[in-house]
Amino acid sequence: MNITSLLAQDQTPSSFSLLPSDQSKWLLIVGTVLVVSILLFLLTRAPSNMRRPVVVSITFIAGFLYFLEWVLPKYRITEEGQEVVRQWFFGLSYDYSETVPILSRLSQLLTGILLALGVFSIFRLHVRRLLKRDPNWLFSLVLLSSLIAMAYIGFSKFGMERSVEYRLMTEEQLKATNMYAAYDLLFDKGLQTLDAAMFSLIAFFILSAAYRAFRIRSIEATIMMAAALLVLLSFVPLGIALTSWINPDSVAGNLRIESVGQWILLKLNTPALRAIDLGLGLGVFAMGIRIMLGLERGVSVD
Amino acid sequence: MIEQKPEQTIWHSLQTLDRRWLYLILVILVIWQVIAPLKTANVVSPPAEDMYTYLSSLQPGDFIVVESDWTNSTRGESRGHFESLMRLLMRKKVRFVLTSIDPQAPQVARDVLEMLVKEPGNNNYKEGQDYAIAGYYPNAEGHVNGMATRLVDELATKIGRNSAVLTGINDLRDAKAVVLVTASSSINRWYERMRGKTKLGLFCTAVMAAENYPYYVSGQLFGLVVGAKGAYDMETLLAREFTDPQFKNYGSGLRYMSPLAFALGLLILAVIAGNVAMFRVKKMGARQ
Repeated sequence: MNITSLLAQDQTPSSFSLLPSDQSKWLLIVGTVLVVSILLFLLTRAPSNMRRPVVVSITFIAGFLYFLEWVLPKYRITEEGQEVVRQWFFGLSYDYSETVPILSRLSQLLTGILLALGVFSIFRLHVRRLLKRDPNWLFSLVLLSSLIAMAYIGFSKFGMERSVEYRLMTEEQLKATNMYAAYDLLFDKGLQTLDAAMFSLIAFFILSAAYRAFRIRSIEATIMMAAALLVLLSFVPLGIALTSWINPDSVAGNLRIESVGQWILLKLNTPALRAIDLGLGLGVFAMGIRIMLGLERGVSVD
Repeated sequence: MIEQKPEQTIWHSLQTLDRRWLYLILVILVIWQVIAPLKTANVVSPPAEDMYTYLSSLQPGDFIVVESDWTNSTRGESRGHFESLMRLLMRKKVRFVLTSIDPQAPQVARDVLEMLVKEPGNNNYKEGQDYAIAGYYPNAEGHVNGMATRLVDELATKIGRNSAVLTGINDLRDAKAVVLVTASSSINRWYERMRGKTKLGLFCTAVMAAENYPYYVSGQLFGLVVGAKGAYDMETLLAREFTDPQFKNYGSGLRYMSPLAFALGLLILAVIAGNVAMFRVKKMGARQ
């Protein structure tokens, strides 16, 4: 088992089940963390002109690994009576497509580390505000206590679900536990409800903004408003009911609200968006090449 | 000299209407429709019908990948999508694996699933046997690339290589479809990386509809279910196919459709009223 599989919980119920007796695995984990920490520390201490080639090289290699996956030829062979696709790798017996899940796991780990870094950064910032008694320090206190409570309850529930007692519990018994009640209160009844409430505020802003700002002041604005109202009406049964008396199979059926709405979306909106997407695609392609080659400023260390 | 005040008409008042009146009307309308929703006749949109027709044609034991990236912030639209999709898959006995690139989404999906498996007609679906929740993948790019290249390897780290849900599945080609229920642009990763290995379907919020229609028109999406109307479309189609009164076909789609219809109605009226008031005031100013 490689280190990425181990950390991504491959073939083991979870990394929490790593036994203290698995000394070689523990050593591997601790060793990797140490080596990476030392390398990162050295990198931060190195002068900018030395750091840049390292970062640019890593960026180039990371991009190139994905690029290779698209350009290396593939072939079909029969293995154990089944036809499988393999990817050529410079004449060696290695199948290049095996690289992709490894890269995927690495990218999951890296993003996980970035998330942890983000949490650490927020934590540090708000602890400082709290200690200095900055204006609005009370909000920092709320944030920190929510963060700690959610993390504690979440990890405790995660640990509990992996215990033997948990597996023997019925659903009712499980829901009666304090841990579940706390999780339910914080996540389902707290966070989720606040999330929905926060988003629903947009309805008020849209209504107010549409009433004040959506004014016909030119031909273009008139066309845009007519199109917007027709598409809006085609999305609600009440709007559809306005023209439901027209026979959908007749020529006049094309004038039903839902037909007009679909026509606007498919025949007017689609070509316009394709043009935008094409331009965007070319831009992203150029940007990708610039990043890979280290030509884009602000991406690496400068 | 006393300055004469310009004449205040109803049009002037409409132009300077306090926004809180609009908010009040909106709140009253929404509360009224949540409590007593108005059930209106529905005309199913063709992209939603395409989605339903294909998924409904799946055979018992078929396997699909569902990426659920919605949370309660878009519950009004996405929950109806997810509920109707799950009801259809369970009734057709289709195996599925759930993945996500949003940290909150797996738990939200799990909560809805726990409720749905108990409904009559949903074949008492069991996690690990009929469906699996692979959970959260922090890096969307890497995840989709892994799924497209080595599906089993990508999922094995979360649900185990020998999961009953993955029986007979070696590659994404073996899946009958990948269906996304999302409120974000996560579908773009699939457009870019899927390489035509299987069919792709999308349940998205109404604001995302315009940018995804080109992919439906080109055939890259086999079906497109949009907004609360899309959820209502799916429920309408479920009700057409599953006529047993024990089956629950309508849920969040119907519940949220009616308040949305009234809210949109108010929006349209507000825009019209604002413009009429503007023209009337302009006309009066020209006369004076």
